[in-house]
Amino acid sequence: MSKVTFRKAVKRYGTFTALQPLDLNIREGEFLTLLGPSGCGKTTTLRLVAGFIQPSEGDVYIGDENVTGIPPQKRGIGMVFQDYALFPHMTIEENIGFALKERGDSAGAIRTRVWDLLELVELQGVQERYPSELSGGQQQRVAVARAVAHTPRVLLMDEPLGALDLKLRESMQIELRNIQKNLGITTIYVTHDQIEAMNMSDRIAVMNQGVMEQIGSAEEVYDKPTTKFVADFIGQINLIPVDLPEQTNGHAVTGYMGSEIKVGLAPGRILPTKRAVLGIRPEQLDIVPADTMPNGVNQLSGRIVVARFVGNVIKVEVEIGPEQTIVIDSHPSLMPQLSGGDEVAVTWKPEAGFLLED
Amino acid sequence: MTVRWDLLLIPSFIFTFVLLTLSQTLFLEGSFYRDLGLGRTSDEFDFSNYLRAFTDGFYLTTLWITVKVSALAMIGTLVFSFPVAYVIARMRSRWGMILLSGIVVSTFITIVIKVFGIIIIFSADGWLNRSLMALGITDAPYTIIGTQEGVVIGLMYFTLGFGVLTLYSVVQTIPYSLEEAAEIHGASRIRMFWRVILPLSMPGLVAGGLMVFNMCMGAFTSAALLGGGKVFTLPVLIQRTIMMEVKYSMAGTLAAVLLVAVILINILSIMVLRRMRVARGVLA
Repeated sequence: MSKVTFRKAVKRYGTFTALQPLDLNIREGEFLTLLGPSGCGKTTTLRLVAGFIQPSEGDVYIGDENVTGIPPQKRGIGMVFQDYALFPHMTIEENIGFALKERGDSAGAIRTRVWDLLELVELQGVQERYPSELSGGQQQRVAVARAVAHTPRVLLMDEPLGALDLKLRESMQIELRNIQKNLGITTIYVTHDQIEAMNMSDRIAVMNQGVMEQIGSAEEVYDKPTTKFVADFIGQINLIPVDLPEQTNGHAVTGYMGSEIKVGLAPGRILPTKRAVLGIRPEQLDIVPADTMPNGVNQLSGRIVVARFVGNVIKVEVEIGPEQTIVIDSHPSLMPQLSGGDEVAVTWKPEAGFLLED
Repeated sequence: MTVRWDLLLIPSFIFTFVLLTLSQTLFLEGSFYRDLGLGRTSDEFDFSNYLRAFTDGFYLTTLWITVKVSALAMIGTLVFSFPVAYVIARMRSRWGMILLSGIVVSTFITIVIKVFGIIIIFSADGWLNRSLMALGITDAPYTIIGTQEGVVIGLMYFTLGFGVLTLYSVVQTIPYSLEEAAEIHGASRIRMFWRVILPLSMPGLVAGGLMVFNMCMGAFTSAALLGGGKVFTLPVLIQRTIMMEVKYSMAGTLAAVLLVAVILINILSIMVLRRMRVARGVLA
């Protein structure tokens, strides 16, 4: 188990910069997820740790060892691939024992270890079979067992659940997380699925266009996004272009279409200086009758465009200005009172919103 | 009314039947009648030609040389073409396609032209020998023409492109992630090759190897030109038996021997490889 550190690591391909200078400390035993859309640099970051590629500038450390320039064979890493990359011509036992055999372990030691691992991933009895004789979920477990067989310093996972169906994916998320906790192994996980990231991670690093935009716990990146991209990428959000804010004792004050809006300010929060947007999650918004008097909350008036029942909530779209609609999650019991064309007011607490640079 | 596309097969079938099946049948049937000289054959059905083919040392030597040069050329072609196929299959840029096109084009240049290239370079007064002698490296000219080595080189030249094309398509079916998986779990490039690439290429190496071997067994032009009238393989000997000795029956016999030998060797190789079970997981 080792920490992993990036020091000003950059990766360029010709004139294209896949990874802007990255400083990142991944703690010992931590489950860190690199989250972002395709092409954001998350896979590049993972492959820099693996040693499949080398940084154009800067350094990568595993533990206290600078591994820049060291080939993948000598890094003491385990990895689970997107397509599992199990060796089709080897039995499950040979697959799981691959790293052990390369390390020079005796046949007996390998066998014992493989049995333990099959127990860990709950796949006893398949050691004589070939990968093609297993289901996708079983192959996934074999891939995990192979990756941790030699107790690597770091475990890398590159979208390992992408090929599984939704139900299996959810149970595997929990299972992978349990295995990781049991082993206490430092894990770097790549995904573009924010739910998966939030389900599994100690911390999430959100990446966009080669830049790590924010790193923090699931709660932090969801409740306190620091950039518009993070706010937009994680969960659902309403982004409303507002006036440039001014700071007054503990609050920021901004405006939309002449209405004053108060925004709570977390300590250390930097206010936008060029163009501001206000972000509010749909579940933080309430719909009240149009003639309600504001009572310590922000309030904007608008007209319901449509209300859609989606099961646990009603998604209400309200037009609050020219070409500006916001979505509110409302309780299903309110459905009869909400119909298209109604004039309503939308309210929220000052601390529920956050100001971001557009 | 349904369109009978299958009717389009009929012209090709007639063409093939007359030119190949019928002519070969007549040719092979002739092998059971004794040559009387000047192209005439006896009316008496017997096995005398076959008896001769399997007792006369000259014919047996020729069969042995044919198998030997074909096997050597096959090994040489596989050894040379595998790295090329591997590198091209793993290229990400369009250079891979350009190189592959180059190989296809050069493969389909007639072997006559290509072999004459070899002859020009390696002949006794070719520039290679003149340079070597001028530099004092050799006293007498060294030539591969008329030697078995020369024939092997000619056959390799003939089959190299086919080897690359076959193996290229095999390497392409091996996901690159398997190489990465082997390397990150501790295998050096060489170990990775032995444990992953080579076993997974085995079906392709067998198929490609047999194809190259069969091409060599039947190759005439490169064997004839580089054999220089001194090294005889069965196809060269068959041509000679027809054109110079005018013994159609004996030629038919040799053709039958060649055909049966090729089929037997192919069946045997496949049986041996099956037994080795090298590729069980791959074929499963």
